[in-house]
Amino acid sequence: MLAPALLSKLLAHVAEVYPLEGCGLLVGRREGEELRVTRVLPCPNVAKAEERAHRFVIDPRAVLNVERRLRGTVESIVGFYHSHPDAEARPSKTDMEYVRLWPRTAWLIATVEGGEARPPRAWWLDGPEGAAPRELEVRVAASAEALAPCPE
Amino acid sequence: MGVIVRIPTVLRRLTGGREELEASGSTVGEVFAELGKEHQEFLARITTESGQLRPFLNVFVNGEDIRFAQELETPVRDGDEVSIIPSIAGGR
Repeated sequence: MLAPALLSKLLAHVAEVYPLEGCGLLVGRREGEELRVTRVLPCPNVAKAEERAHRFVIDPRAVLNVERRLRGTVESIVGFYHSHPDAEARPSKTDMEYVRLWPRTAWLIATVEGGEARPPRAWWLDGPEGAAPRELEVRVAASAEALAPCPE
Repeated sequence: MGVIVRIPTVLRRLTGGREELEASGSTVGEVFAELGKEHQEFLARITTESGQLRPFLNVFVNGEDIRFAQELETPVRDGDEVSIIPSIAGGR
């Protein structure tokens, strides 16, 4: 679940960087069976410049820094997001190589079509050896949440 | 106190669910090898048979990426923190 403002932030980010792929971290917490996203942290796409229209890479240092800041809190990195410019919002073969490294983590993918971002779809793998990711429902509900830039 | 190694979620099933482990050693490679005595599968998942760090894994010592230091030969001291972060990437 994420708040409308967070969804707007995510969609604005991936639309802004179109036709390149946009990416970022999702911070939040588990509430029973649900993941509540409390922060959307847009990150630079640090893939090679000539590949950024079809590939994304998040600097692992950003993940490290966020994990350190969240240590001892109830929050953690609960997911990642990225865009598929003019392509379907389901995990590609390339995505799956990395989804397997982050099981039990939500992967939100948003299609950006002609510069307009579509609502993201969410995918989830139960374990690293899982055959295929399953789709999660993305619920958008109002709450006061924070927006923050990707930490260096 | 030894070197603290923070374990990513994907590898915790190989460390009995533990988020961090402690081991001794004077380099990152020695610390991993020490952990491998008890957690062989964990060691196999982070290093190759020739003793190199596996692709798609990033290792930091106190926040510094070992690729920009001496890789697995990067020196460590008691109290240092070694973090393993799987890569996050993909593409359409």
